[in-house]
Amino acid sequence: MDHLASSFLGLGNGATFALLALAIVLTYRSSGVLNFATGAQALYGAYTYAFLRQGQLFNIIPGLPKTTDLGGSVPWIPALAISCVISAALGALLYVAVFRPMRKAPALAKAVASLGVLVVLQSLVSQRMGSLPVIVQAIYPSKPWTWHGQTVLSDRVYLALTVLALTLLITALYRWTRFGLDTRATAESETGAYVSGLSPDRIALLNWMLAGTVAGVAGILIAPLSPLTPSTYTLFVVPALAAAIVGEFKYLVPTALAGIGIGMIQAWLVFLSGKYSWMPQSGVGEIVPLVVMLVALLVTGKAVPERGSVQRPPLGRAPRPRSYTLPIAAGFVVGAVALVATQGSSRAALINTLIFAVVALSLVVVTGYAGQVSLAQLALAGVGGFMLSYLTVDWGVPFPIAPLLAALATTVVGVLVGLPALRLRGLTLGVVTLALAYGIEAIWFRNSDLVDSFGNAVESPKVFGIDFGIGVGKEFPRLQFGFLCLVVLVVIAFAVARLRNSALGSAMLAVRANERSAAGIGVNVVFVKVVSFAIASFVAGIAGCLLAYRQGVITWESFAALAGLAFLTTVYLAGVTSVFGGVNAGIIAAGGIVFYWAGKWLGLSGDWFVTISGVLVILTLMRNPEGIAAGGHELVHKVRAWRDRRRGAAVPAESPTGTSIGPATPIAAAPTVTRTPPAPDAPVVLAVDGLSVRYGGVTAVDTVALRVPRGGIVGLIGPNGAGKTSAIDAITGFARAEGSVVLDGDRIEGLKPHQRVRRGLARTFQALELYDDLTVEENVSAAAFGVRGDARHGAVQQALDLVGIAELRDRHAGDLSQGQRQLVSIARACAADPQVVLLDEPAAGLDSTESQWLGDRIRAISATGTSVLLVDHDVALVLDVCDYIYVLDFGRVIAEGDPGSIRTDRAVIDAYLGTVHGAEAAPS
Amino acid sequence: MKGNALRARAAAAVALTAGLVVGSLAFAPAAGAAGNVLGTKQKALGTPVKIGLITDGKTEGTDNSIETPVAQATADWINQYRNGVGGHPVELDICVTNGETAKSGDCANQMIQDNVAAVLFGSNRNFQASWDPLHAAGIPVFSFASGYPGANADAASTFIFGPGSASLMSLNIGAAKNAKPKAKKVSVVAIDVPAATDFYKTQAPALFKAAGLDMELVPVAAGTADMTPQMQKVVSGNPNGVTFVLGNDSFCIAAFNGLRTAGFKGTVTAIPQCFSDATRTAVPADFLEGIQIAATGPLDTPKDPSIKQYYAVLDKFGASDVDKSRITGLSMYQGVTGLNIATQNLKGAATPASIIAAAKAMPWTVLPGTGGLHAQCTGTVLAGNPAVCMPGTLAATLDATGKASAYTPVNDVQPS
Repeated sequence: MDHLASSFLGLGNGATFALLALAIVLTYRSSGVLNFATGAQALYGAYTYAFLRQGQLFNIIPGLPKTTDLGGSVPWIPALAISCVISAALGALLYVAVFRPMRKAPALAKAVASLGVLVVLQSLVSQRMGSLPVIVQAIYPSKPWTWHGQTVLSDRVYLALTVLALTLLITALYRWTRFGLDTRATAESETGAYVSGLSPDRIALLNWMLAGTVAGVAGILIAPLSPLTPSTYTLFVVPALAAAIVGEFKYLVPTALAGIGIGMIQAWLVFLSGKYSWMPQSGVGEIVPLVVMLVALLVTGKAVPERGSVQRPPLGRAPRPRSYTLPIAAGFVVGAVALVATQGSSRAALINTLIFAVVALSLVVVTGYAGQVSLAQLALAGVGGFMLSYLTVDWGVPFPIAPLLAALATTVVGVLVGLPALRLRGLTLGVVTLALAYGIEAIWFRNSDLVDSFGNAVESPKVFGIDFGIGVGKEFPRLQFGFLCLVVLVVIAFAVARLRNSALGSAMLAVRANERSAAGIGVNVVFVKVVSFAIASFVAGIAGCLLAYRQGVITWESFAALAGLAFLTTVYLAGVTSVFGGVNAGIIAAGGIVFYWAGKWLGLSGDWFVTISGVLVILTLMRNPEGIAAGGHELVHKVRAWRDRRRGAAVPAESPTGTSIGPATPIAAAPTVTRTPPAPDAPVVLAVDGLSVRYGGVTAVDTVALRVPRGGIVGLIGPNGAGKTSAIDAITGFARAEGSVVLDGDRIEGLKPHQRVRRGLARTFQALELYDDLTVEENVSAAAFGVRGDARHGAVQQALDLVGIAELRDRHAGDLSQGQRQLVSIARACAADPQVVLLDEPAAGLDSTESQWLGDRIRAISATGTSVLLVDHDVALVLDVCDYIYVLDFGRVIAEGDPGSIRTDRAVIDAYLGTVHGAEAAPS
Repeated sequence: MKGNALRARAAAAVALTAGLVVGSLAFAPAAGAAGNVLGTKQKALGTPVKIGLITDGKTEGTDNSIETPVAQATADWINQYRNGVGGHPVELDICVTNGETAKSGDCANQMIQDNVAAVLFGSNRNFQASWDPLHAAGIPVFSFASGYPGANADAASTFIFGPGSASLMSLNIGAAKNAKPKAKKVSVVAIDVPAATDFYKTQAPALFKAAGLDMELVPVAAGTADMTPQMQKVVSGNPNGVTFVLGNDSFCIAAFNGLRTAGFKGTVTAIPQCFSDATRTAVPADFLEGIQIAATGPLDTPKDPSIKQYYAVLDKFGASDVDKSRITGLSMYQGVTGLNIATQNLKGAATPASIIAAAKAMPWTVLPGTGGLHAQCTGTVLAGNPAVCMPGTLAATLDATGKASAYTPVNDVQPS
C-alpha cells in the first residue's frame, strides 16, 4: 500500500503531462501537425493568466508595452476565461498563419515548423519577461492529505480529477456533436470530407482553437505547481509525447491516463530510490517516458496513424551527385581559403561550421536517404565525444585510434537507438529517438557518476609529433585543427555522396520511399535500416569527437536532447536530402559562420537571433517545405540543362510538375517477339500447394495449387475479390498463409519477402509502388541486388532494354505516364534476373494498344528464360499471352487449362467470363 | 586530479569544522572619511590595464546579464576611488558565453589574444572550459566563486574570493550540530546536473561522515514541475534532520513548498541564490522563518555600510537600474573589488606576472561588499585550496519575511 500511496505523489506531474498530451493529440488528430510548440502555447496562456491575476494584460508583441495595467487584480474565473479566449486566438493564429498554408506539406516539415513556433514564442516571452520566476496563486485549495505515510496535496488530486473531467468532456464533445463527427470524418479521410461537403479547413481551425485552449488551460493549471519561467514547459514535451503515443495520437482517455500514469510511476521510482540504496540516483525518472513509449508500441503494434490527407508527399528529392571531383575539390579549396583568411573568433566559427556539417551529414544519411527520422543524432555525437574523453584521458589511447574507436562505440549505441526503427516509421520513430536522446542525456551526459562537475576533458590530438589540436591562447584556433576538420568533412561528404550512388544508397532510398515495395524488390529492409543507423552514428560519432577536440572539455549542454530538436530544424531547413544541404546546415547552424556574422555585423545576438531564425524557419518552410537546398538543386539542374543544350546534346525535356510525355514513344518502337511455349514436360520452377489465406473469419484463398513451368507464362484470373492478389501476396511472403511454396525445388514459404526475391521470385504491385522521387534507372538499380559496378550497370541496362524503356532512364518515376510506370515496375522486377516474376495487374490503366504491346514485352521476358505468373483483369491479354491459365473464384481454383479450354469452360463462363467470352467469341 | 582534490577538501572540512567561529564581529566601516560612502577619491593615473570579463550573461533558464553593468560600474568606481589595479585604470574586455561550452573556451582564448593582464569571471556554467586555457597561459583569474576542484587547487594563478563549497559544508555541519536535538543526517536537494551534484556524490559524503553525519543526495531532474515526490522522500528518510537546498529561486521555491507540504520538521539550509522577491511571495512565512544560509555579503541589510557602498557605486556609475536585491550583482562586485584589493601593492606595469605577484603578497584585507570579511591570497587561508583567498562566510537565519536581519561571520580568521 505504501507503494501505491507513493505513486499518488506524482499526480501533479502526471496531470501536467496529461494536459499537454491532450493538446498534442487534439492538434495532431485534426490537422496532422505534431505540434512541439504545445508547451510554448501553454506557457503563453499561463503568463497571460498570471498577469491578469496581478491586474495586468501580458503583451507578447515586441515594441509594445510589456503589460497593460487593468487597474486591479482580475478574479480567477474571468482571468481564466480571458486567458482561454486569448489561447484560442493564438491557436487560430498559428493555424491560419502557419499551418494552414502548410497543410499539404510533409508531416516532418510541419513538425519542424512547429519547432520554429516553439522557438519564437519562447524567446519572445523570455525577451519580454526575463527569466525571473512569476508566481501564480493556486486555484484549488491546497491541503495536505496523508495516506500511508505519504502526504499528498489536495490541489494535486483536484488537478488530476480536473484533467480527467476535461478529457471526458472533450471526448463527449467529439463523440456526440456534429463538430466531433466532422472532425473524426476529416481525420479518417480528407477527400471524403470534401466529398461530403465538409470544410476540412474550418474543422481544423476550430480544432486548433480548441487545442490552443486546452494548452492554455494546461499552462494555467500547472503554473501554481512550479514557478513560471520561459523555459518551464519545454522539458514536459517528452513525457507528454509518450502519453500521446499510448493514446495512438487519437484516443483522449488513454492519453490522459498515460500522462497521469507516467507521473505516478516517476513518483513511485523516487520512493523506491529512498527505500533501496542500490537504485541509481540519476536519470531513472527520465527513462520512464521512453519505457512507456516502447511498451505501448510493442503492445499495440501501432505507430502514429498517418492521416488520410489529400496529399502526403515524401521527403524532398535526394538528387544524385553527378560528379564528385569538382564539388569536392571546390569545397576543399573554398574551405581552405576561408580557414587561412580568417582568424580568432571568425575562424572558430568556421570550424564550428565544418563540425556541424559533419553532424548534419549523419542526419542526411539516416533521415535524408533512408527516411528514418532521427532526433538523436546530436546525442549520438555526444556519445562519441564522451567516449573520446574516456579513451584519451582515462585509457591513454592515441590519436587517431581514439576517435575511430569512439565512433565505433557510437555506432554500437546508434544501432541500439535505431532498433525501434525496425517497427516504426516517420514521426513516431522521431519521437522515440527523442526520448532515447533524452534518456542518454539523463543517465549518462548529466550523470555525475560518469561525468565530472564541469564536463570531461579531452586530450589534444597529436600523431607522430604533429599537433592537430585547436590550441589555446594566441594560436587559438590553430589552422592545423581547422584543416583536420575540413579534411574529415571532405572525406565524409565524399563518402556520403558515393553512398547516394551506391547499391546501398538505392536500397536506402527504396526503403525511404516504400518499405513494402522495397521488400518486394529484394531489399532487406531490416538490414538497410540498421546499416543506415550504423553509418549515420559512425559519422555522428566522428563529429562528436571533433567537437570534443574543439572544446577541450565535453559537457552535456552541447548535446542536450532539446538542442537535438533545434539541430534537426536547422538541417531540415538547410536540406536534409543531400550533401549540399548538410554542408548548408553547418553554415547556418547556431555557432557557425552565419551566426557569427549576424552577431558581428548586424549586431544580432542572443534572443533576437533566436527569434528571427525561428521566424525564418517558419517562413522558409511555408514557401519551400523541402528546405533551402532544393533551390540550389534546381539551380544546378538548370545550369546543367543549359550546358547540355549548348553542347547540343539531346536532353529529354523534364517536367518537374509531373505531366506525362505519353506512352506512345516506347510502344511504337516495340518489336514483335516470337517464343516457343515450354514443352508439357518442362521442369516446374514454381509449385504452390494447399495455399490458404485467411483474414479473420474470411478465407480469401482456399487450398490453391498451381504450377509455373520454366520459361512459361501462366495466367491467374478471376472476378473481383476472387483472391488473386491475396494469392500473389501469399506466394511472395507479404501475407500470412498456409501451404507450401516451392521455388526451383526449395521450399520457401518460411522466408521473408526479400529473401524470396533473392531466391528468384520477383513481383510487381498492383499499385506499382514506384519510388517517385528516384529516376527510372535508380528504381531499377535499387532492385539489382547482389551485383556491383559494371555488372550492375549491365543488369539495369538489360532490364530497361527488355521492357523497352531505356530512353526513360533519367526521368523521375513520378513524372511518367501510367503505361510507362507499369513498364518501370516490370523492369524493376526483372532487374535481378529472377526465375519467376509475378505481375499483379500490369495492364491496369492501359488502353488496348498499350496492352497489346505489354503482351509482347511479357513474351520477351519469358523468352529470356524467366517464367511469368500474370494476374490481370484484361482477359483478352491473358488469353492471348499465357500458355496455361488458372481461374480463381471465391478463393478456389475453379478451372485450369490452356487458353483454348478456358475459353470454353462452362464454370468459367458462368462465374466470370460470360460477357467477355461473348464479346470475344462474337467476331471470331 | 579528482583524488587530490578529494583529499584536499577533506582536510579543509576538518579544519573548518574544528575552527567554526561563532561570534559577532564589529563591522569594519568600509566607507571612507567625510561620510562619503563611496570612499575617498583616489584616481588611478597610470597606464590603463586591460582586464577581461567572462560572464554567462543570459542563458536558457537563467539571466545573469546584470553582471556586465555591475562589473563596469565597479571598475569605474575602483578607477576613480580606489586606485584601480595598482594605479592602473581598468579597461574591461567583456565576453559573454551565454552558457555555451565552446563559447566559454573561445572567450578565454579571446582574452589571451587581447593581451589582458587578468580575467574576471562572472557566473560561469563552464568554468573549466574557460579556466583551462587561461591557466595554461599563466593569466590570473579572479572569481567570486568556483565549484571546479581543479581551479580551487591551483596555487599558480587563480584567486577565488569566496570559500565555495567549504562554507556550505560548515553551514550544514553547523546547522546539524546546533539543531535540538542534534541532527544526524543532511539531505542535499539539488538539480540533477554534474555541476550541482558532482561534489555531493563524490566528496561530500566522506566530509560529512568525518563530522559524524550521514548524507543523502536527492537529485531533481531538470524540468520537474512538482517536487512533491522528491521532498516526500527527504521527509521519509530524514524527518528531523537538515535539508540543504541548492538552486536558483524557481528551483528553491518548488523545493521549499514541497518540503512544507510533506511536513518537514527539521532545519532547512540554503544558498542566497534561493531568495528573490518571487521566493518571498511564493513560500509561506512560516517556512521561510528559520532557514539558515551562508552568504558572502549581507545583502538583506541595506543599512550595512558595505551594502550601502555597493548601492552607491551602482547608483553613481550608471548601474542604478540593476536589481540590487540579487546576490549575482553583489558577487560580481566582490569579484572586481577582489582584483582591486589584491593589487593595491602592485608596483610598475600591470602584467599577468606582476598582478599574480602582488596578489600573492597582499595583506589580510577587508573585501568590499562582504560586511567586513577579509581576504588574503597567500594560498594558505583555506587548507588544501590554495586558490581560495577568502576563508570566511556570513551565517544568517531568515525571518518570516524571508530576509536575514543579522549576519554572523564564520571562519573569518587569518591563518597564522
